[in-house]
Amino acid sequence: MAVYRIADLNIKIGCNGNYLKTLLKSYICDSKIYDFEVITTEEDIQNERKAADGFTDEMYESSAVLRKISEKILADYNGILFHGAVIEYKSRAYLFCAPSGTGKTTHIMLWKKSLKNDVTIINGDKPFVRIIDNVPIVYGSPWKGKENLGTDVSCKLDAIVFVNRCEQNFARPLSPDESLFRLLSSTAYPKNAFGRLKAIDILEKISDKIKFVDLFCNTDDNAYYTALKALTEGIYEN
Amino acid sequence: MKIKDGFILRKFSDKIVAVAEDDYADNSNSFIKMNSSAEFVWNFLRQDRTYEEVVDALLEKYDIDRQTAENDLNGFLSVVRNAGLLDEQS
Repeated sequence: MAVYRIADLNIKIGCNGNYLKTLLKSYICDSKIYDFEVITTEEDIQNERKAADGFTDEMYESSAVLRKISEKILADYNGILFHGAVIEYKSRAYLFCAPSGTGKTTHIMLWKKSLKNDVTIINGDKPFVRIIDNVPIVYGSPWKGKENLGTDVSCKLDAIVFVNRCEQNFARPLSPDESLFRLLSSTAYPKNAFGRLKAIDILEKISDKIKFVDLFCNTDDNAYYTALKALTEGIYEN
Repeated sequence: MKIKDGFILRKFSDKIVAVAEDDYADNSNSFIKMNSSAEFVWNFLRQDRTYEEVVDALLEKYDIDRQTAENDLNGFLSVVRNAGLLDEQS
């Protein structure tokens, strides 16, 4: 079993299938010391199959490992797994959340297209956010989505943007309590009282330090500009 | 009427969130957001009360008229009723 460096933690992962091995490949580290260990059982694979039918066992192994890592980080390492696409621009990270198929990837690609090397795609699908010394830090992860977008970097999280598809481009600021239910839909946590309360704990700590934006946008090139103005200048007009 | 058991109240920002303890609740049935007067009604309805008892308690606790208290209570009751959290058999 090898040790991998994910979200600034050394994680020993038992890994059988090639699908997961390929994802994890560039995250391997030489250390023999690790923060925690993840082993999946046949029962874990069955549970993943129950949650979403129609994938291969190798993919279920991957989702089971991700679930176990996210639960451990939530329980013991002051962090939570997001479903979202996150970019870095001028040393600040912006995390875009929306239900699958809304166009998170399309939107971050507009940033990339317009701002080129000034924008780094940290992760296209499953980033971790951890509170380190009272600062929310977002981390890339081996789980990069179907477009395989991401790099193994971290950055201070500055804002979470909820993406909504719309013909016009506009944005409005949101308060933490307006954001809570959407945050709970965009994060992973065990579906029990402990998991829900722990998720709210972490989300509250994150909310204290960042801003929230509700972004309504189309897929035109200037959609990114509406988001950029709101995020970097606090300007919410078109 | 009475609020069903199985929820924990927790503060978030300036709101209160009721969080389901049930392992099988889906997301939409797991969280209810409310303001502080709703939290008061929630806690009051942990025991079986009549509609009139809740209105009277609101009038005693807050500086509001009966119409406002009833409007607030009706709003709260429709939320918890829709979420299936109100036991109205008594």
